[in-house]
Amino acid sequence: MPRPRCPPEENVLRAIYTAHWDARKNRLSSSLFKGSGISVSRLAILGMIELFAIFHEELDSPPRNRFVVGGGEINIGRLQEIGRNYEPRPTELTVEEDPTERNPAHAEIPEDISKGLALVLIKALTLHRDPLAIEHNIPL
Amino acid sequence: MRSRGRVPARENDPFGRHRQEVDLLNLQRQAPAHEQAGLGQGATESATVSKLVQETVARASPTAMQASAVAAVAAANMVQGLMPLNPMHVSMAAATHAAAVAAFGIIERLRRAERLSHSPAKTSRPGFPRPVIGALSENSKRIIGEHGVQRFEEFKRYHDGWDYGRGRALSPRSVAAFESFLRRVPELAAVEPSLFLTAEGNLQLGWEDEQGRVVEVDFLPNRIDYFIESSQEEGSSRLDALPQLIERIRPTIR
Repeated sequence: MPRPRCPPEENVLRAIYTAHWDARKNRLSSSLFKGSGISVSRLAILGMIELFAIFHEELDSPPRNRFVVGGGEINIGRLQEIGRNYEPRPTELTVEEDPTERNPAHAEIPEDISKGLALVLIKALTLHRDPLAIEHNIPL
Repeated sequence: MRSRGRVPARENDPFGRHRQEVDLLNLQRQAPAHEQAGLGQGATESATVSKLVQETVARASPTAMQASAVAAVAAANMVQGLMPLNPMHVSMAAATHAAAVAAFGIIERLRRAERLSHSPAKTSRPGFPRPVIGALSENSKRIIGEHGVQRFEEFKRYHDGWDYGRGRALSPRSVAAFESFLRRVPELAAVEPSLFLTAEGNLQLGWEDEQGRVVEVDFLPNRIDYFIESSQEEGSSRLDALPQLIERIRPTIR
């Protein structure tokens, strides 16, 4: 059964890991969005603090690793517009609801995103520090 | 006298034994693509998944399963020199391949379903430990710097299943490709490249050219993917074509 699509008015948050983010050199990797089945979380369902609590609970590797260091926010309509206008290969992007037991706000971008398009999406992100971190990892 | 390629009749489960042969053949066929797709370390799936896949394929396409079984016997006999190559058996082998491809899709769907549980117990396979990834060479350390080395050490701690089940642990073969690349481009140190870990468990280097445009190079076990923003060039290169790739990338290094 097809999963319901999230409306373009909504904003989503993509968890940013140390794997994607070189804080010292201020660089983000295309792997943040490259590929298919990219996980995002709907800010219409849960707030930033709740989401980061879930990210740390679910996505950080125990016992002391802190891999999630921030989040990138983007409006779904804006994301779709960027995909459609990406000249080398226009891509129709969607965000599908995919709630999990622990994260009811979980959603996925099912389409295959190229490196080039991923980098354009990254430039459109509003970056957020981890509100639960003692030290802020993303220098904004 | 031994029968040459005939499938002996079975009373209860006519394809039972051959299913096991097909299972082995399919796993062997799957190995390179399986690893390339980043679906697991090596060709080995757990016995449970393998059994489930075989049962599901048999349910979904009994004809393909039957053809696979006959092809498996034919292939085994051909390997042993007991019978010549026969076009009919080749077409059956193609059916075997189709079954393998179907099995692949099922494995992927199972993996996606597995994500929902986020259970570390389901993503770790203690029976098949990964090879230990050692320290980087002095050349690589010099190019990525102390900060890059720290990141490399951190990437070793990422387990299979990171990023909601999508991410894979660092691949030792990616590290080997990375080392091989850096041996040929010592001047890359000048751009102070950033080291990243991709969802497929591969190392990636990223930097900017003189105009501030992004260049990215991903080190896969059997090839190198690259992106040059200034020319919007996105492609792949086999490892044996490294010199040509390096010539393409060199102008982006200030």
